[in-house]
Amino acid sequence: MMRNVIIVVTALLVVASTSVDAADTGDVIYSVLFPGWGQIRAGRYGRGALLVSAEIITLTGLMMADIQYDRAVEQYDRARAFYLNARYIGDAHYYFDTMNEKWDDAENLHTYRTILLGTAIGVWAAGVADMMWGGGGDGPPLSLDVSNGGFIVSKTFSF
Amino acid sequence: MIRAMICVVAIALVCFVSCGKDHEGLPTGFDYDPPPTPSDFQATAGVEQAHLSWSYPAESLPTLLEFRVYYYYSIYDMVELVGTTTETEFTDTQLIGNVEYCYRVSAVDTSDFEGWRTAVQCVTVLSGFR
Repeated sequence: MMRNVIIVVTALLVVASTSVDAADTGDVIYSVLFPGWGQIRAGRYGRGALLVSAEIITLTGLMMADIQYDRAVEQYDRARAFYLNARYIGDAHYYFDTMNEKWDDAENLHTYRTILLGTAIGVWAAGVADMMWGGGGDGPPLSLDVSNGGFIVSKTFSF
Repeated sequence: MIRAMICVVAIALVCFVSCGKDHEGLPTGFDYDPPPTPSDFQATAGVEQAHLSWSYPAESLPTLLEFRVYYYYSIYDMVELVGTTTETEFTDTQLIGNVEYCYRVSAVDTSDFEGWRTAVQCVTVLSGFR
């Protein structure tokens, strides 16, 4: 798991460091800081909102899975300590079953945590890659047309 | 600049992964070998007392530390220790007549590990008043 994360991040690092010229550096920096931020700054609101939403949902899920995982680990450790110190066979069986149950919970939550972490990295990588190779905005995000006795503000969306 | 920021994000992610808690290794299996459960457990009513008796395998006697005698409270599904003995019988005295008492017995080995308790035996104690 750890090795995969390091490989993915290192690959991104290498690719990113060789091809920053394609996009506005400032927007790429914002996109590195948080997925979608750079897109919003560049006027690509739809894509930016999509990336921001995806990252927020993924990070929220990741945080919840992480909290639940830590809780399952604590419960497992407690059940294990009770099992190892049991002085009655009934208690030993009870805590052995609880320990196995919490182990399974921790394993499942660890899997969810890994998937969500991978998704968060994927969304982040997609955001950065999009800023580098996705093409810049074709025009300014806001335009002002002055007409007789008034003006029109128009906003350009790009998906 | 961008390279540095990507590095910071990468380090943060790696820290997040590596700083999480880890569960210790799961024991391979159930390691306890409890002493046998006493068999033929019987409770007999006496006047303000209850007499309990049971049998126990002779081959397990060398590793026996004691027998534990418990009251059993069915409404709470709980036990309370009455006393201990090294014999295969026990007399519980100073009880209240016409009241039902329920008992369970278990064996404890020399490593102070207690085996399964017997099934519940209930007895209604005789009253001393005539």
